[in-house]
Amino acid sequence: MVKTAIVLLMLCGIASSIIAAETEVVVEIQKVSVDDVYKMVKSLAESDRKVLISKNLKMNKDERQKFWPVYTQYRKDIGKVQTDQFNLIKKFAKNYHSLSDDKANELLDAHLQSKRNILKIRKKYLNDFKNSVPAIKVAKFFQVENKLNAIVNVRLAEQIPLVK
Amino acid sequence: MINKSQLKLVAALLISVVLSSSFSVTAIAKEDGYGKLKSALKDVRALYRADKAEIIIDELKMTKKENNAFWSVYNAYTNELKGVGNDMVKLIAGYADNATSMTNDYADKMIDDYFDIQSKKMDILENYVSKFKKIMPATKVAKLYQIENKLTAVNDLELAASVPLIK
Repeated sequence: MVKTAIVLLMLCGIASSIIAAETEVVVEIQKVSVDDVYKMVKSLAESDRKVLISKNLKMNKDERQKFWPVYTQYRKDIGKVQTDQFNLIKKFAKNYHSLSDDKANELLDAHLQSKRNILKIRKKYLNDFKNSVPAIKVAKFFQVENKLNAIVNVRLAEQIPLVK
Repeated sequence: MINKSQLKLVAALLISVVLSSSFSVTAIAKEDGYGKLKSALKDVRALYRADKAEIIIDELKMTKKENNAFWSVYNAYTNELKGVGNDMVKLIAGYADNATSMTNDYADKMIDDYFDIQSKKMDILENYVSKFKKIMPATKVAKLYQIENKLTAVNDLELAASVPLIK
């Protein structure tokens, strides 16, 4: 299986980065600026999200007028938590080589809290979305969001090295 | 040098990243490319699934005392997650059954069920992070959490690729 993975990766032209020394994997977070990753993820996500939602929800004029203000406020709230999450990644990068148990504890709790906050925001806006468009469109909206989040999350998971 | 278990974890993630670039915004909009991504991600999952315990053992480097206390709690954690995973499977099966004749009432129920599942998952995660902290130092719990997160990211991408949008 490992061989299969390596062949696949070679085909993708990125084998060298995988078979790199452990140190190279470890310093990945320092080679790529966390701010750059943040900007990339945010701008990519925000511009694509609106286009996709618009294409897939096929809202009428009345629905659009109700939906977009709710959506804008929703993304603003989500954006605040995402900023907190990236600040946590920055703190992790800063403490990476000498992460203490106290710091690990603090970062872990803060990350769990941010996940809880994202869930709270999604649930908080649920009724507002349901009042703006039919439930089928609300379900489709969350499907689109989940698909985009899955792409963003796998890329982030790849970027952030394990605790030493 | 990077060890075997790390290689598997990093490989699974990088393959997923490469695959996710083909699972693009256009693919979501046009609903194409799902089949290819779905089967490719199955291979990625197979890469790590059987060796999850091996990855944890290699990475956490637990003491004998930690090791003795860890596995029963970890198994209880995965069992609880499995229960929530079964709820998710039921939700997706219900969606598949109703996909061609979706009503607003059914969609409403699906949304509520989905958020119930997400809340349960969050509760389990918080509960077990507290339990793991009593067994080992926070740096090891953080590392375990990261490993779980990385594997969940691959799983979620597979799920995102598998479930088509409502027509």
